Amino acid sequence: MSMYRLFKNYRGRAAFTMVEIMVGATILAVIGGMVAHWFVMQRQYQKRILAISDAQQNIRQASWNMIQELRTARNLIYPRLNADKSIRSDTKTIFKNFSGDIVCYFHDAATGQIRRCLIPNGPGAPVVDKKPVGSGIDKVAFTAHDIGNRLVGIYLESSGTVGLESVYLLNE
Amino acid sequence: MIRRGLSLSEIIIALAIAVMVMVPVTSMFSTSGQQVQKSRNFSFAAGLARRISQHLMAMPFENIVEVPLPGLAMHDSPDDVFFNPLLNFSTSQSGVKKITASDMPALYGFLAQNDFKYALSVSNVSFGAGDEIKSISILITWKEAGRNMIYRTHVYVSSV
Repeated sequence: MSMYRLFKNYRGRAAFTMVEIMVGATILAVIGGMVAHWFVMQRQYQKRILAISDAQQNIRQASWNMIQELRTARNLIYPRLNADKSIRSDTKTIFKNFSGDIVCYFHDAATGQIRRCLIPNGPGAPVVDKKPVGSGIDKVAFTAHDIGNRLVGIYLESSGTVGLESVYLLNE
Repeated sequence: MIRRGLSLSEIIIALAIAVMVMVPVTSMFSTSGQQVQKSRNFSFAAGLARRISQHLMAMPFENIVEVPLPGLAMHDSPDDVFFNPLLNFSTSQSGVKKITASDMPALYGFLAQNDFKYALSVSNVSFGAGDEIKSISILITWKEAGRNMIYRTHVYVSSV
């Protein structure tokens, strides 16, 4: 036997009253709203998490690509320590690589990319590599840290995630 | 015709089943998020350890000294050779930026929130006058969801 006695309409068929329908609809709306809100929150959270994961990958890839060439560099040309021996940072670094080429890594803020170019040792324009060294990078700083200019600090920021690396130039 | 509706106990059982299904789904979402954050912190710690190891190679041999546990915090810490000062886009000492709330708020907030610290354990091995090796353990510690986390790496630096 049913717990609830249903209202009988004018045709004699059992039906819900208006109040019951309204109460039911309200409860459903509240529960539906809560579930929808939870899904929206989860979606935003997942987006944030995905952004962190992507940023981490961007930083890892950019630093790996640069460190491979920098660590075997022969000579750091720019940046170098200031005249008062304080550290010096810039968004680009120039060095002579192991093969003797003059290489520059620079940050293109408009595209969020780190690009590599070869600077001719004489007249002529720098030749930029087709493929970027890193992408999705918001901020970059190359910092000369020690008196011998053998130590380059690399600060990378991507979507709020930061990477702090340093490279010791083996051949300087 | 009177049709039988659902009883209260049936509705409660149905709701209980729905909750039992939903709980693992929600925990699955949060677990994947925690994994990503854990991985970020771990990668960051590995980067810090690599940074310290590279600085140790450039430091004067006699300046490599023990930094005992619980270690030094990277934020609000006094000047050291590894992290402070961190940046300087100017041509003089006046423009140096340190990891403080005013100079670098985002990085400061991240480091302070997770309480990132570093410690160095240094052992000397001597092969004769002027021929020594320092064996250095680099420890990076941080806090994550109430747990103490650690990343460790080891480097050797020669006096020669």
